[in-house]
Amino acid sequence: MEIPVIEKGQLPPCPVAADALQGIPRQQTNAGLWHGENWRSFVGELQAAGIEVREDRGSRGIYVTDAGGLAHGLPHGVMLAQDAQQVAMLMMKAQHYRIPVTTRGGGLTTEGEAVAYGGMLLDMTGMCHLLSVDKKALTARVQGGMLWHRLAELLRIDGLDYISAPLNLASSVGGTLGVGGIDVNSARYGCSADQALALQVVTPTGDIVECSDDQNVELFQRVLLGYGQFGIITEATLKIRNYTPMRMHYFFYHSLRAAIDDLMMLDQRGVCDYTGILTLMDKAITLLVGFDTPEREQDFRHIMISRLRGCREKKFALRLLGYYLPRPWRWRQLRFLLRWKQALFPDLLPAHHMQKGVLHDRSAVFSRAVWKHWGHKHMVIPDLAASKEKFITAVERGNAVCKKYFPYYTLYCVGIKLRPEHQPHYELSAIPPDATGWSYGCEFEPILDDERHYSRDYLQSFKNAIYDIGVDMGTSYYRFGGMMKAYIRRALGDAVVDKHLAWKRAADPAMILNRDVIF
Amino acid sequence: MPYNRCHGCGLCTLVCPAWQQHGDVRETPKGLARALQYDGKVIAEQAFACVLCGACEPVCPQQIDLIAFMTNLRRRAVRAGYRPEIIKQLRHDLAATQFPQQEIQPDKTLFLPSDPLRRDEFRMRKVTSLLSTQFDLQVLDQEIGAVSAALEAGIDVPLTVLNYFLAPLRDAPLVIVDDGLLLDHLRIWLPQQKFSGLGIILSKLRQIHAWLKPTDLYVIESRAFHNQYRQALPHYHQLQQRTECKLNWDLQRLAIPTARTFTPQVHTGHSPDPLTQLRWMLRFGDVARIVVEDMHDHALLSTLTQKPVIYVAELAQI
Repeated sequence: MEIPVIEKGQLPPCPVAADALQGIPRQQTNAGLWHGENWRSFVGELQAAGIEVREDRGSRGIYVTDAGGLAHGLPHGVMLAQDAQQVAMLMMKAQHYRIPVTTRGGGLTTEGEAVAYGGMLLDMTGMCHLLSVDKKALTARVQGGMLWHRLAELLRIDGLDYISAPLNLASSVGGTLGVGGIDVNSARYGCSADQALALQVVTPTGDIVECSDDQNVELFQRVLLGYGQFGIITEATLKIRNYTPMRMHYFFYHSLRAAIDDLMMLDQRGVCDYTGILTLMDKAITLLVGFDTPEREQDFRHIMISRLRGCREKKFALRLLGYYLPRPWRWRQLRFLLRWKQALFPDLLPAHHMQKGVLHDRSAVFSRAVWKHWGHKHMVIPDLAASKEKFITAVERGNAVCKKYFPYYTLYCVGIKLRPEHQPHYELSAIPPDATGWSYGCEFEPILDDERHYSRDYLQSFKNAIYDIGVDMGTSYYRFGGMMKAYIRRALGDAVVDKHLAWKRAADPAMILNRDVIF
Repeated sequence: MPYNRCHGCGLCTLVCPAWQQHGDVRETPKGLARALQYDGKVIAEQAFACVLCGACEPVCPQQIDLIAFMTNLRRRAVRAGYRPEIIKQLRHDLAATQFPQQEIQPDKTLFLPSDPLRRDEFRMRKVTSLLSTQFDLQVLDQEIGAVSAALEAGIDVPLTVLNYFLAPLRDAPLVIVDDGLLLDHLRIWLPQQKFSGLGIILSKLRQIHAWLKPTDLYVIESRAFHNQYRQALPHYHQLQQRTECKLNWDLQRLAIPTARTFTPQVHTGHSPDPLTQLRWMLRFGDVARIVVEDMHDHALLSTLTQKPVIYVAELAQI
């Protein structure tokens, strides 16, 4: 029984991307709308095989946009993934009928990568089970639709934890492995994709294949950080670790350059387990460091603190006052800084997650804080991913763009330790080709609120201005798919893109799996 | 409408027991809100999968009143004719509820017990004795089960019934309510009035927490806990630190609900199963005894486990 319409929702009747995104200047790429050829025959075959396809508008409307909230598209139908066999059947039929299939986990893309512009949307969150845990080898086998928060909950039963995952825990394991996944410990352990030991993949033609560094190696290399182009991750074996609470310290800086220098120095020395920079504009720059054990924390206190150029909170507050007091025309900015600081910092160290001065369940704490303080109907987070040599300049140039476009914004910088043996995974990904040792990324995020409205064109222009820096400097991006895909060729060059395109055509003859994300 | 404020972050999904058990986003606040944003309608059964535990409310970064959102959806479904026979019976029960004219003594703290507690003379005496050590107490001799069931099922409580029900509560300095869903609604109906859940008050008493052991699983009543999350969270955190008992909460410090409802007959097959919920609460093992804040949970859990289940007031040695 349907609950009758009392009032209409806020979205227009059919906000599909091709129409909705017209008029955006420069490097905007609109996904093509698929019109439904052979849809009924395709659905008929799936239903005959006992697969449920949801075609009512409400069920499809759930997926009309992603976390970015800027791309809109409606699938013809939705399938909730249940097992690899069912997904394989879907891909086989989709290949035959040339039906686009868009896979979606938590739907936390920002450029419309998880939005279907027609065709079938495959909701992977139906496959959200922890299949096995090897406590000795410290590995876990999980389904591809597993959400990181759920995984953390399940592993905690045995006193275990995942190694690294995005700060937004509503994202899925499969989706994260496809793009990288950055945590505040990535400078020590690498990205989330680096933690994958083996995968079960459903190929675009509907084969179920196990792959790893020893088995079907090429497929393994392409699927990890492959932006969903070469297969659907239905299971993954991940490296895990023993759970440890986190000991956190903050250091405050006035200069981006000094903070980044210190961040890189700490990463290279390997003295911290967690490092990252979070800023409020370029006025309050916070270097976050964290430790898994009291011994590591103690070593840091003895050896490193005196070498850092940042200061503790009270000293920084005095310096900040010294800067703002003679500048009354900037007091509004100061008020904003204080208000944010007062709201944000208690949420990063909430009393109910603290035990004896140590933070427990950092994943839940950070995830909630991210959404509480940065959440908005539009998540605009252009980024630059650069080698350590180029990083400081990239951040300074990006910061200048932020200043030009928005009164208030934050920057979030974190490093990724690169593994030479994983180099094949990194090609055509967020890892820039010239990076060695570590790659660094910075997200440039305007603080949007409901009082100030920005047009979609304005937000897109901002993203373009950031991405243009990447083209100019030869960096890469975390978020280079979907609406921003035109930058892939500009930043990474024709040769590498054409090589991957040839692989894609061979693996996915009808070019149906996650189309318009990269190719 | 409040659901228009949903950005689809999915934090509610992570903590939703219906999603945890069935993995179908259509039954979560996010799924329902997104579907309404796009289409303006949802399937009634999806709105009735929810057990109104309220875990989604504290995590919602948009601070959407998700219990009100769910119950409003249900009201619309009921008005449109959802499960008419069952609804008719619940309406009949509500109409048959008696509202005795009880003399209310000014300046006394009112206590509104749940129906099973009222009927249990022994435990009721324990609770009132404990509360009397802290408050100048008057017990309201009022059945509340039919009102709670109506609220849960999405039945509009007639204004006359509501007036009778609320009249004695208006002037008390504090009303202690032994029903989380009712607590939520009372705060909306009488916004100036001061309310508290019973569980948090009892567990603050030394006579109670002094007897909690590290091998106890203390089951917080989820509806009341999430309704007064800001005040309740520090208290239960301290309770756990002090007694080292286990709590039925998750990594987010939200209460895992037992998934009991007043109106199982209106819920669909997709509502979370209480036995699975109990197993999830017991996941860390090493539990010798289960202590519950709510008499409905006491009845439910006693049928699901061989472990001793005791009502919180029974901890007190009085």
